[in-house]
Amino acid sequence: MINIIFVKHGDKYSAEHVNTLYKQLLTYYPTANYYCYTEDPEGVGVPIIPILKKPSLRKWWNKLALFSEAMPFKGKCLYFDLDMDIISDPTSFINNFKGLTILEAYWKVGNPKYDILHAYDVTINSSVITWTAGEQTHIWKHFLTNQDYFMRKYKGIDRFIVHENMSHKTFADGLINSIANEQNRIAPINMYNGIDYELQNKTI
Amino acid sequence: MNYKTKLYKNGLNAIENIYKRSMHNPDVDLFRSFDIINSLNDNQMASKEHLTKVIAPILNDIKNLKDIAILGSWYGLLGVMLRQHLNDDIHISNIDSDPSAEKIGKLLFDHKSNKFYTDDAVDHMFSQGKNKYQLIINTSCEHMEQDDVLLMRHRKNNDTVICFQSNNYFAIDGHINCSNSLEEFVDSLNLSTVLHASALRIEANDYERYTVIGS
Repeated sequence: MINIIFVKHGDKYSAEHVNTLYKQLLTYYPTANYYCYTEDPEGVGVPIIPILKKPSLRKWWNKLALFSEAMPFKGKCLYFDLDMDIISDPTSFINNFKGLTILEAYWKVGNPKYDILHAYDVTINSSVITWTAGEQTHIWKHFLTNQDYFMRKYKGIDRFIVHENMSHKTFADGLINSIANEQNRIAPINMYNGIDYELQNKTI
Repeated sequence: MNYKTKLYKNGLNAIENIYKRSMHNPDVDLFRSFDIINSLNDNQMASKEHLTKVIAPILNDIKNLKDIAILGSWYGLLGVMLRQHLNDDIHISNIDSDPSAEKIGKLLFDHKSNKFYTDDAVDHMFSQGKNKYQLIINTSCEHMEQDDVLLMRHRKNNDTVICFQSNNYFAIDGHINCSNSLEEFVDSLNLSTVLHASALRIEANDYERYTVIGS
């Protein structure tokens, strides 16, 4: 059984973003356990995991808490950012739950600026992640060793994962189309990273 | 050489050292050089100078002042400023959870009575007796859980003076406990006596830094 998990923190995304993505995914994952990790459960139509009381984190940093031993789910885990639009069946791409698997930001690959040692920007994107519960707890534990410094140093968890040498691999190319990057690919998932994601544009 | 010139000079040396090591070692953390610069930037200077200016006249009135705790001290800038107003027999303990803060702090300003401890601020306070510190300073309340701030604030005896700072700079990811106003910050500390409360406007980033002294 797969656990599909969303994180909603703050007011950038609404309960409707969660509910719409849940309905889209239900077509392809009808038997999955769905969860939303949030401090604001109002209107959310999937089971809630309340945000950990400590440490208090903001925005995307809460994604790292999914690797904590405190999470209630067991087994295969699949995480989606809320600005994702499921166009067609993604299951052929999402089939490996060993280790940590993350999206490759295909629009960044090959650009030498990402090879600069102190560039800090990276060629992965944590909008979709798979792992097995309990097997990535070292990521959360490492973050807690110096969380304030890491939040100063990195603009998000992608950079934290790469530059803190957290072992990971990437999904096969073709899983996503990045709307923000003007490459109209045909892919199972449209992602809206960096731009506003309006629900009226959705396919459901 | 005044302390500020010395700080900047030592900061440049620390940055030079990081760069030189990075030429031979890919594991050297280059961001530390940027972090050192930020720790000495105009906003940091202004905030710490403000605190120093308002606490300095009170220092002589603090009973048996021997030990000062600075919680969330980063690289120890405030301790450097306070040292200019203190005799060497008064000890300053800089406490920060960042394991590199001590090493860098000593590069910036090494003084026999300014010590560094790598520790969680709450853990440190509870590892010490309530009489250990006569002045407890926390310049990083916005980075800390509110219940932890209150635990630190209460870990003292009746004569201990506290001086806490926070701000309304919500834009930073690590700022998990900002206050909306000076009044809100004062209320959140639940002090018996408020000796001082002020808001310093930081124009460059459009926020206010709040400083409260009391017991």
